[in-house]
Amino acid sequence: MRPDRLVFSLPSALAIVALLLGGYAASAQTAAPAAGACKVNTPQGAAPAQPSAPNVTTGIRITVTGPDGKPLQRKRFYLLQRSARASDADAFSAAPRREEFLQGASPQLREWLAKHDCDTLYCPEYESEYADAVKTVPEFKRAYEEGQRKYHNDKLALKWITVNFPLKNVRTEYFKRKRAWLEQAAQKAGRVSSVMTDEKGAAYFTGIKPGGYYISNLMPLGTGGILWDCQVTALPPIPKQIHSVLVELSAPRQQAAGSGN
Amino acid sequence: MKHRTLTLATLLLLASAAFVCPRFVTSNASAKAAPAPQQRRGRARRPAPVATRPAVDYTKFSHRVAQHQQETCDSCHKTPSANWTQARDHEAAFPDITDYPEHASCINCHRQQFFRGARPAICAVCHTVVSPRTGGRFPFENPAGAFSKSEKAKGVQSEFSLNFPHDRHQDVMARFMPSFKAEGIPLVRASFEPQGEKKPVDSCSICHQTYHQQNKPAATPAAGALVLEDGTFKTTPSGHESCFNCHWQDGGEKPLASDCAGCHRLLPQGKTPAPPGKDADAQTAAKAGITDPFIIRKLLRRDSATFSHEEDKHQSRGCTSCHINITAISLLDEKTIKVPVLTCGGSGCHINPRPKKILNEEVGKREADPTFQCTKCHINYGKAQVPKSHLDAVSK
Repeated sequence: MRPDRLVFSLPSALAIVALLLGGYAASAQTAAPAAGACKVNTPQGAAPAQPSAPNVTTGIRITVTGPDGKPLQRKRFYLLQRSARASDADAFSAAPRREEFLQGASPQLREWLAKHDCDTLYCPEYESEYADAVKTVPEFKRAYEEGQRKYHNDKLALKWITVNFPLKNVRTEYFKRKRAWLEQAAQKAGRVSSVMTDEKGAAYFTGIKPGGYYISNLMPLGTGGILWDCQVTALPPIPKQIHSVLVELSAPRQQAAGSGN
Repeated sequence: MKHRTLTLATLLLLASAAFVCPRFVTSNASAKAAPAPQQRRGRARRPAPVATRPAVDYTKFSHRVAQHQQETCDSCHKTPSANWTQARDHEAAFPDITDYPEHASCINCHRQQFFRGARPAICAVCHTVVSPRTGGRFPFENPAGAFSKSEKAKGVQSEFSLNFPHDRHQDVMARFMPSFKAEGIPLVRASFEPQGEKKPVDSCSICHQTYHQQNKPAATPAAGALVLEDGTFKTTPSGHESCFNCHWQDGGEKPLASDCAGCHRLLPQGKTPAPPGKDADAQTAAKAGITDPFIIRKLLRRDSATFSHEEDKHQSRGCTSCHINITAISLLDEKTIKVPVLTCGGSGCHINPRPKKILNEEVGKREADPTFQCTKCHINYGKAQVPKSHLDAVSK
């Protein structure tokens, strides 16, 4: 007798889905990060690279745009002596991911974190949102009640909610591990300095010696996401200019996905 | 007979002079050295000491005293102080160090000074009246508001500088995921998109907002008054209220509130955290009607006292357009806060030979007339020699 249609039992179906998801996750982790684009502009008046006096310093200005074409704000970029990609290509798969630090978190907390765009619970812009979080997220509710019990002051209990937050690993562990990972990666690639982009997605590397460098975010933006690894030559200083080179870093349009790093 | 009487009188005179003069010498020397009676007795019994210990002024407390530094901070400062609920209004109150240490913190070493006479000098460290029977005290240095208005605050310079790792705090507030919409891959975690409209805070403005003077300058300022535009300054999180909500000892992040030295670093003798004044001084602040001690400190360390952050064209530029080192630094110090004059010339705003912009104009006027004072950006510096950075910026 030939079956008319293929019938799966529920456990088999779940197992297949799990395998597929596992396979996707594994491929996402091991896939090489996508390359961010780099455009190096040399302002008028820049002299070609040549040996200069040891005390001469120059500057590089960077502007970074995300996949949506908007300035990429509050992201750290590194000036390196070596290529980040070449320094330790395998390390990207070992980069910490926030979901690894959510053990014991309620589904509501996971959802709240997913909606909020900060590495930790400490972004001051959250303060105005704690009152709502207390109503919907069990961990915030517990922290608030603990604060009320200690301080007998509702406003203070809300303001100091992170102090009494029950899951310490959720609060800052991801940040700490990420920072340590970045430090190590930067060291391997010959860290010169690092900057954080401002509201215009811009930043300066200043006081550097003319010569060859790489500029990178080191940790790919999103799992299997974008990695900038831009080779740049810092030219000798131009009179009346802060920087001798402008590097425009941009992401491939609308390709980033998954959890962010 | 007459001759004999005269000789006797002379001898008597010499003898009395020899007796009196050494006493004059001794008493003059002992008047200079302290404590006088002990030294005189010491001289009589044993050889004179090589050097005398400098007199200690017990009316002034210093953290720099070696013996004080040997103690941990919390051996004197209890966290929180018993009076924290009264130190601020109920709405603003939070556990904090808001009172002097107890007598018990001092008395083990200073018993002698505590019980010296009816008016022990050591009482003046905290008490308004030097007497064992009265309890009136000066306001404690924290909260700063009440203390800064008190008599004791006049001329007081902190012995500490603030150790604030700017980069670490920036990283704590780094964006987890940029605000772009993820598309193209089926298993997108779409929940990482930002939810709705957030209040417009980004990067620097998370912590630094425009400061609006409480006492706005009068429409027609009095003679001699200085008008600094509203929006000249940006705020900086200051005071324990900005720190303890994350660093409180009962579950917070290190350094904890009880670890004072985690943030406060003792300065070497003779150094003060606030500069005495650069382009502006304390009189400038008074003329401008600025009373907030934190804003005064900001004014004093400025190279350009009159620069306004809120001016239309300044607002539209990114913060790092001028503060080019601010995101690269680990600790805040003078060097990293400094704004190079070349940043004023971006797009030819303030530096350009044709049409002549303000820097070119004022430097030109100064070269023609040494008494000319630059006023566009400066107050005190406007009278000083034009620095090389400015001359280079306008050079052809």
